[in-house]
Amino acid sequence: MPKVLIVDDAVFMRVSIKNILIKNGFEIAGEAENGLVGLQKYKELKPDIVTMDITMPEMNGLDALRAIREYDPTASVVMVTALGQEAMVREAVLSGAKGFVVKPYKENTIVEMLRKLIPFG
Amino acid sequence: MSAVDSMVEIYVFENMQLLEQLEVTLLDNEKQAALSKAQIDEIFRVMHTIKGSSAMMGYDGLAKLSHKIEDIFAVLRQREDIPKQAWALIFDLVLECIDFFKVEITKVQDGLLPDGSHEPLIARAIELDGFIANPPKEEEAPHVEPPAQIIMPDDPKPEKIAPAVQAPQKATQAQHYYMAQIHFEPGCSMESVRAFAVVNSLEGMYEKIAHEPEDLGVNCDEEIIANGLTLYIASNVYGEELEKKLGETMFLQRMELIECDISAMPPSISGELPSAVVQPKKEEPEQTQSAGIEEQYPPVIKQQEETAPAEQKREANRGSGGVQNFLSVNVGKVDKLMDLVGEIVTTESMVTKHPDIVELKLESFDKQSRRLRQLTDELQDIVMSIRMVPISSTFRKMQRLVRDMARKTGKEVELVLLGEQTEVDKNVIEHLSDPLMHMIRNSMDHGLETPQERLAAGKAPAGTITLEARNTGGDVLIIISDDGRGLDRDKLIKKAQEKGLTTKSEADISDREAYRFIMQPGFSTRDAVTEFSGRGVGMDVVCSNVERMGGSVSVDSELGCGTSFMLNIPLTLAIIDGMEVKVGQEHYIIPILNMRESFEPRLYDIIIEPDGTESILIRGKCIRIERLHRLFDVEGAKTDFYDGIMVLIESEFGSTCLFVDKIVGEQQAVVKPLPLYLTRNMGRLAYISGCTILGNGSISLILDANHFTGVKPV
Repeated sequence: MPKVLIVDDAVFMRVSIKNILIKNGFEIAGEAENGLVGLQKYKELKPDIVTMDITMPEMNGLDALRAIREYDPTASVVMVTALGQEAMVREAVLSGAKGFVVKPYKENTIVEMLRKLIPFG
Repeated sequence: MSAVDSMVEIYVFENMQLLEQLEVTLLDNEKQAALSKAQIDEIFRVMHTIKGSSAMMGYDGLAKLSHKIEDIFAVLRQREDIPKQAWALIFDLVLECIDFFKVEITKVQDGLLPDGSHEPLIARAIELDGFIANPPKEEEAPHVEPPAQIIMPDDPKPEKIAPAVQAPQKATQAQHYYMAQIHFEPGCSMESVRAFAVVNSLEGMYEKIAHEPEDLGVNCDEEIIANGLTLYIASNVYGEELEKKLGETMFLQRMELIECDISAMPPSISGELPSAVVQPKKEEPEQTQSAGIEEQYPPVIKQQEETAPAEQKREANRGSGGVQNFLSVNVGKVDKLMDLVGEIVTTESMVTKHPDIVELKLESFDKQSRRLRQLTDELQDIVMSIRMVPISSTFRKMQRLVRDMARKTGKEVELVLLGEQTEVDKNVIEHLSDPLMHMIRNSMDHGLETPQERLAAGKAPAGTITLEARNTGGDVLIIISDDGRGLDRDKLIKKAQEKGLTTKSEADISDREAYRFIMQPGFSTRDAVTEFSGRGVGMDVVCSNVERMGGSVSVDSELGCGTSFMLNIPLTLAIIDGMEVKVGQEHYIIPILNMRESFEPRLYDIIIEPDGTESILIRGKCIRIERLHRLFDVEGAKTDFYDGIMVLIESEFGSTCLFVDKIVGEQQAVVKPLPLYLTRNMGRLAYISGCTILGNGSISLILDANHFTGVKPV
């Protein structure tokens, strides 16, 4: 099962993503409440995919994305974003984000995107 | 279904918490009329979080409003020169939005739809937006914008230019020209950014590229939804490779790639100009056009600069990171746990003091039961501590109340909070909020004078209300004091006599008694001439609320200098350490905290006054004796002081000696409140704060030391 690390400062979003992913056969490697913890956990847990919020305290999603990509250039990070953050998303794309979903998303939106990133066994 | 329920629960809990925190931040900073960068960031993030989860829950109104506020703060993040007048508006608007969100989220909590109208607030937000963008008579505003105009894709520009410069040489080698049509899945959002990502993903695979729409740096979602993204590519890679790469695009609905002739290419590719390479060219003219958009969506580069120092700052107050060590638990479960522990404590003494074994000498049983007692004590302490929460959240609510009332009444007030960290049982806090609110409102409305009146009285124009919480052993003392006009004793007595609340003559009424009139039902009426004419909320309601919790209210005042109210509230409503005493066949519990000593009285210490009042001299102090058997009409009790024992009890109001038959021993008492129909009918029942079930299953009454020692029931 592909392991996913969820990085988001909102408990609500973490739980919501977690529920969706578990239901669809993903394994949750871990959760992080900001970019800094996300980076640590990435190194620790070696997840297959990271879902990354952008607006977070301590270290925002963009910086975390860059740090993770620097640590592991093959890292698959998808951004979870909201309307109004287009500029940030462009920046994320340039920094190596593999994709992004826009809140509010539908369940299969995020699932399909993650499945596309990792051939499902 | 339960999954949805739990999402609602998280939604409500998380967002409510964020809103509370936000309110505190705002109120703390309102006086300075400004927010620091970190605080603006915080508000931005909170609004962002609310927007995200509201949108996920399908609460469009809430999502829209939070989005609008988020936008405003995105702008504020970049501005250095926010005019003072704007801050006042910002604080007002955000506070009102917080109220709106709270009301709506409470609806969600109650299983309703958040159907409140967000339009008026949005309209005001737009107004504020305009105000910030064009503050009156601030010419520089437009000049401040340009430095912030570092458009996002600037960063990659140097890299992009490099291939562009090489392009002419390589272009001659480009053997293939392709045209690709890409359509994204409907509803995937941010189509222009997706298109941008597609172009970006092809990097290194083309010599030249052009696309339709030309400018992906601005919002062109509509155009892409309607016509798709068209790519013109000059490249020396094979079509299959390009097709494969493009096929990896997320949310791709359909894609067509055809190889075609150079004649089909737009001039930027077929022509000679190296500048035809897409990215850099577009940005220049756009800088002026997209000013509005850049204002809303902060350039990333700028923002990075900001977050760096902020991060360092946060590193310093790392304390906030500790939040993760907390677990939020459903209050219902803790309540249940509390009940169970109460039952265990009772059962434990029922077992260890069981009549069948109590006479037996069972050494190891005693040992084990002592251990059991230790453990239940510990368990109880832990459960109690779980339920303890700092009173600060309740105090903060008052801050808001004072602020709003000050606005309405035109009075200047400073609210001083002391002892916010005092911990009180959660149940107590819940019951405390309303009485406090009433009392603060009274202080604001009636206690404090207008600035003019204050100046005339030689006081500072701004009044002070102090809200203080203090732990005094088993009780929490909450003091609300103001430096307002104070209570007019004569007026109060006159009023009380008019209303028939007292038959005493004026000279017989002590100051405290006079002040207590304001807590009598029926004293505060709308047309009353005293300064305590209320808004329908009487102090009597406050008083009965507090008394229902086993607490008491007292008032002190000095005319012209201020008034202070003292609420004495038990730390917890659940379990107390008590001393069991016997009077006749009845058992009573005296709270250990109030008990000072017990002793056999010596007859020559006892003083009997002509009216029959009995007192006793203890270390030179004369203390009133209260015979419990007389007070509660207990038959068969000992009446001779020689036969019984005296218990000295003390509270902050004073001391009293209770005369009882004998002391049975220490007892933990799980307090069960007296039923309402009993407490309503005060009289001698005022001496009782509750009842408890003893180890042998009989019921015992818990005595209320406050009533014995000072405050006489009215």
